Amino acid sequence: MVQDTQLTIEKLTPIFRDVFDDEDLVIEQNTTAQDVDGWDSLAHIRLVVSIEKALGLRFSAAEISGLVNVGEMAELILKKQANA
Amino acid sequence: MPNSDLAWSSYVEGMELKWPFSFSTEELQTFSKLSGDFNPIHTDTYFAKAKGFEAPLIYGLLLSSRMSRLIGQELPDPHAILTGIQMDFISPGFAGDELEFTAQLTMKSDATHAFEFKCRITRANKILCRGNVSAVWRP
Repeated sequence: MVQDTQLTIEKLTPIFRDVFDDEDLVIEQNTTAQDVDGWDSLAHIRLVVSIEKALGLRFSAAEISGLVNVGEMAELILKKQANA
Repeated sequence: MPNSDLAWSSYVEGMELKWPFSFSTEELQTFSKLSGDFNPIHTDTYFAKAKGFEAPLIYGLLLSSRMSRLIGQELPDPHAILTGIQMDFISPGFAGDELEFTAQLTMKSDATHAFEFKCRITRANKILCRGNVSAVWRP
């Protein structure tokens, strides 16, 4: 499971780099909005929509509002992909 | 269900909005002052004809302004904020042309209240420009 989470974070990395316009951005399981320059509310919307489009998923507001870091986002993605 | 949820549910993927419009030469002259683009191709009939066009060309960004009307004026409520536009200009439009703007809701994200419309502007069913507009709904 930890390995799957890490692989998902690797898939998310180019999406984060595109949204935050930072080709050197590194994200990890414990990365939060406070760690990424420009991660404000509008950037958060662009990020979630970009992830939904790239991975072919749809999140609910409740699923997204409870996430505290990138690792939890990756685990949510794995859970939704498993149930798809 | 709160009223705000009812309003968001009125945004339905596939919904289509359209309306006719046109721009006069005077409106192109007004836009030249607002934009700072005084190229006579947009404001001078003689200059435009000398370049082989039938009338002054409508500014591309003036055509794009219909997207502002879409997000600010034509949606079910006034709670949407424009977050991005992309538009390709296929062929020129001219002052006085009878044009039609059409927009179709292609994406609605319940997680973020973001949405996107695919848009096109046509003259007698011929596409002048097409593109996408994105916005976020914030009641």
